[in-house]
Amino acid sequence: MGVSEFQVAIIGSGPAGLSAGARAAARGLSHLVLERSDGPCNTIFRFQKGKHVMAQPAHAPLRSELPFEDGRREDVLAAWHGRAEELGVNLLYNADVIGITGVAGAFTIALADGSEVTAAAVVLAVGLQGNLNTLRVPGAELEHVGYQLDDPDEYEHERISVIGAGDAAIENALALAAHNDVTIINRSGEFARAKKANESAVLAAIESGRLGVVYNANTQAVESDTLVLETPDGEARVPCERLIARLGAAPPRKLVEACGVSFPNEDRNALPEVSAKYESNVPGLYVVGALGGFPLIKQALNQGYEVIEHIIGEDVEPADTPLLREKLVAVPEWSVDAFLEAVRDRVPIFSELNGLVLRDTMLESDVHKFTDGETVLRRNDYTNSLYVVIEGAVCVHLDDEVPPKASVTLGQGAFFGEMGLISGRRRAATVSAVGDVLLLEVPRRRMIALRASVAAVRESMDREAIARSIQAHLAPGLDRESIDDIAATATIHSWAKGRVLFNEGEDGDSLHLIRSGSVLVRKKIGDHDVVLNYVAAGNCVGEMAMVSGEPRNATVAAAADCETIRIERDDFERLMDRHPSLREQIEGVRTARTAITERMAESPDQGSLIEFLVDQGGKEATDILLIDETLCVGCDNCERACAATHDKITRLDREAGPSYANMHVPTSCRHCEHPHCMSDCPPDAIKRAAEGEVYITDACIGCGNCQRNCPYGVIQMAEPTIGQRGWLASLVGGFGLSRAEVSEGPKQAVKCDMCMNLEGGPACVRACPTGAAIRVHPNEVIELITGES
Amino acid sequence: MAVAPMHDGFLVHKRFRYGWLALLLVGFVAAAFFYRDRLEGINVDLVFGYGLGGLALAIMLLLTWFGVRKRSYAKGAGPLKGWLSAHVYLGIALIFLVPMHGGFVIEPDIHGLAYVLVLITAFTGVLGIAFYGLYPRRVAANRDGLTFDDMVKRMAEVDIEIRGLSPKLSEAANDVVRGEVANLRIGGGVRMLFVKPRNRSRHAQMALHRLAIDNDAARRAEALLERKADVVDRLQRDIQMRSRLRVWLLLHVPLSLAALAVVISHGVGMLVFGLGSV
Repeated sequence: MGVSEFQVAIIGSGPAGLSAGARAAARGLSHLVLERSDGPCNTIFRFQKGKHVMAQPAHAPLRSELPFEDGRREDVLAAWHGRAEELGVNLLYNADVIGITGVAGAFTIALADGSEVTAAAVVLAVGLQGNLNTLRVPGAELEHVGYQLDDPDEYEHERISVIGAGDAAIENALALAAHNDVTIINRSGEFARAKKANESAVLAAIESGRLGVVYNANTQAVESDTLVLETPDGEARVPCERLIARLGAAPPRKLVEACGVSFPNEDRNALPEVSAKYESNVPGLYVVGALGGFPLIKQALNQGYEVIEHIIGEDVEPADTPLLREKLVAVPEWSVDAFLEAVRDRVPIFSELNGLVLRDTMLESDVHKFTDGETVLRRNDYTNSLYVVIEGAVCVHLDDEVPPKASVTLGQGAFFGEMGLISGRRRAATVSAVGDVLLLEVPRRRMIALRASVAAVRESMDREAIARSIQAHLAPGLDRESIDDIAATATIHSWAKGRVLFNEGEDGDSLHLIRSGSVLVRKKIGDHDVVLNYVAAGNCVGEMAMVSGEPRNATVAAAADCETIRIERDDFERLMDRHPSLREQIEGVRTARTAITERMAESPDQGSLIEFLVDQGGKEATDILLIDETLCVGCDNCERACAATHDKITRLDREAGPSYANMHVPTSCRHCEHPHCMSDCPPDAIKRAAEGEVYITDACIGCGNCQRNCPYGVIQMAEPTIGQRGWLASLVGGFGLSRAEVSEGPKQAVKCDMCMNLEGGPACVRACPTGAAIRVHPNEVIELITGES
Repeated sequence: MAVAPMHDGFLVHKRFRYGWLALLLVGFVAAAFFYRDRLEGINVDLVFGYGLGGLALAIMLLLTWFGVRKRSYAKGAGPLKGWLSAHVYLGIALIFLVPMHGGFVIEPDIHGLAYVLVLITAFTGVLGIAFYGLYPRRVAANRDGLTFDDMVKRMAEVDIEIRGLSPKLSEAANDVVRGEVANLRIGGGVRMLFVKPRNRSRHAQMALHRLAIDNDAARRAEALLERKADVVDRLQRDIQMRSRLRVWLLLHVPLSLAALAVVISHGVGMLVFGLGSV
């Protein structure tokens, strides 16, 4: 075997491949970038025209020869192109790789046209998008079937079907709908998989008739002008002159395996395993980018740079290492690598994370060191991060005594804080350090993402969370061994808003412990469906039938999206046998509930009021502005106070909003348990303060997602103002005296921040002269109405 | 319907704290006033003239400060409700304190003017309390969950629909409809504080009815006018009640400033010219 032509061959010219090529060129390595199509960055080139590309993750530094900032697709590509040419990156187009043979120092890359390329090292940067999932039905090969959409403006007055329910499908369908008759074909009954903003947009378009939709549809066949679908109502034929199927992408397994790289399992979406230096099981063959598990452009760019350094033999530390080291300033005895290793070895819920995910998790997390007796988090705090114990132990206080009478000690590898994470409610317990303790605090967003993407994290957390919920809410003081077997058979159920957990008259075979969200208890009294009670997270429903043995005496339905832990009757019986006071407790609850039922049945209006409040946000609000119409004189001093304390823009609209029984709920932020506004904020500008206030920071880019996502319409987009008006000016009325000026800046989202920076509480309430306006936790109101405490 | 008792109005604020304070103050001063002849070793004129006068002036300054406090949104001690509660009860207390300060004598001079102005100001305030107690629930009941804009929008919708009927209506019916649009007054003017303007929509509806035209368009127009008349009734009541909720302030505030000015002149006068005579 002769000398290799190139020191490094890079397969794929996406962000990772091109970045690797650019670094190789800059370092003077003989290199070749092999691209299957006829231009670089095919995936990004195939993004929808004009698409805004975000430089995510924002906190990670960029380390690449290629520049990268937020911007339009075209600008990003032009910048890369220019830089690649400047450096003299050696690109070979239309080079379709079919396999790699050889060993480190002498790889031979076989191309589809029969030619071969030899290289000492190979970087596999083919990504996933080169391997789009395609339709496998008759007619899929027809010319009008496509899997990409470049420029939606190319098509006009056509009947187009878009298959898919993800972001790409929605974005394509909406863009095409401007000039075409578009139908979106969804295999399921909802668009929950998409980003919140896309979900709202697509639902709005369907609602207004701009976009057709077929739900629960499986594609059967494609004909020249018709799409044949199988739906629950039978076969449906949709007129279709053009079909765009956005079915996602999977790793090009055949190709990767043909290169000698092995996969950890048979899962279609499994990714090859790589070392910290991105080296695969084949020495000298490296895997970077989406194929290595990192789909974000910035990460791909960084890896392209780093992999070349590794190949040269430079001991380059990953771009994020300095940032990770900063996280460890409080514990200088720990190196980054040792710490990461400790996290993986000691924390079972993180043991299955791959190295890169773990680094990224740590980038967003904080490391804390506490000394003996120090408080880590306090009961009733509004924080919602998750803590894991890296070293030492903590004590969870189960009561408010100092020192606690009942407590649980959690040792190395344990996690805590998950209840706040799941339910969005205040912390349920105080936690303090036992001896010196080293903790990793992972923010909620990150944990949610991990739970969603890594099954092992979700399963081990759920199992533990079930046992703890049972211990905390049903059997405090009972040891874990007596709970674990019951927890093992308990199941977690999700309920969409309005779904019925069980009906009146059904057999009571189980109880539900609500772990997030809340439910409404209803009963048919005469001809009326009367609301009897509202039960929030942390409480049980269905336990009455457990002790009485009678059928369900009321219907329970989800007031908001909720999750419950279902415990079967036999298990619950066992639990009551092991923990006799539980039986007494349930009897007590039963007596109290019976009293409430009687009281509420007498005055069904009170039930309607509960329903009204729940509907107006009571189900998820942590704080709600209520105006007593019998006291409100309509002076609007609340709005003026709000404007005066918030850049001249009032965040509440007193008159708007519904009323019931003289209770008026103005348009003002509810500070929800799981704020809808936070769910899709690209710059992560919406935060929650420790006291529960949800507020928007200056990082807002004015995209309007939060405004669209808020179900209560309390967020507005406003131009920032500058200047102040003195009290004298406002006393005179301020005609011409206002120094407030509208700045030139782009619009930003503004909303109520509960006057978190003002002493004395919200300005609206403080400025109400008659006492009509109050801010309360809705549960307090509901408890007042039902008389439950 | 009784709502859960969470709201605490300005009158009952902190279990009538300022009401009790005012009552105590008035009771104490009244006792002293009625037993003044038995108080030995005390210069009654000095105490009730300068002492009580000074106290009343201090209260007045505090009451006037409410106007400033109301507008200082970012800072300021305690909720505004507490201040209003104190304002109300101390203001009512003035109605009793001022006559005792003046010995129940009013003469046509600056002292008498101060006396009268303070009392009138206080009474306009009492009127305000009455309105505040009376109207909010009525306004809410009258609105029935609609906002002002909702009501105006409803009216506009009816107008558009009636305009569409116009070609199908007789000349006489069209005259009635045109007259309604031209003459309808919803609010405006001082008069409407006392009497509700005529509901022209109701009149037009009855006029159409009297024309007794047996035609679908006319019957539809009549039904629409009836609907509009109901909204007009609501709007007129709404404007009237909400105007009353505000208009008393137009008397109360200028009167209070005038009263304060005159009281200060009276006080300065008494300090300069009166002190020697005591």
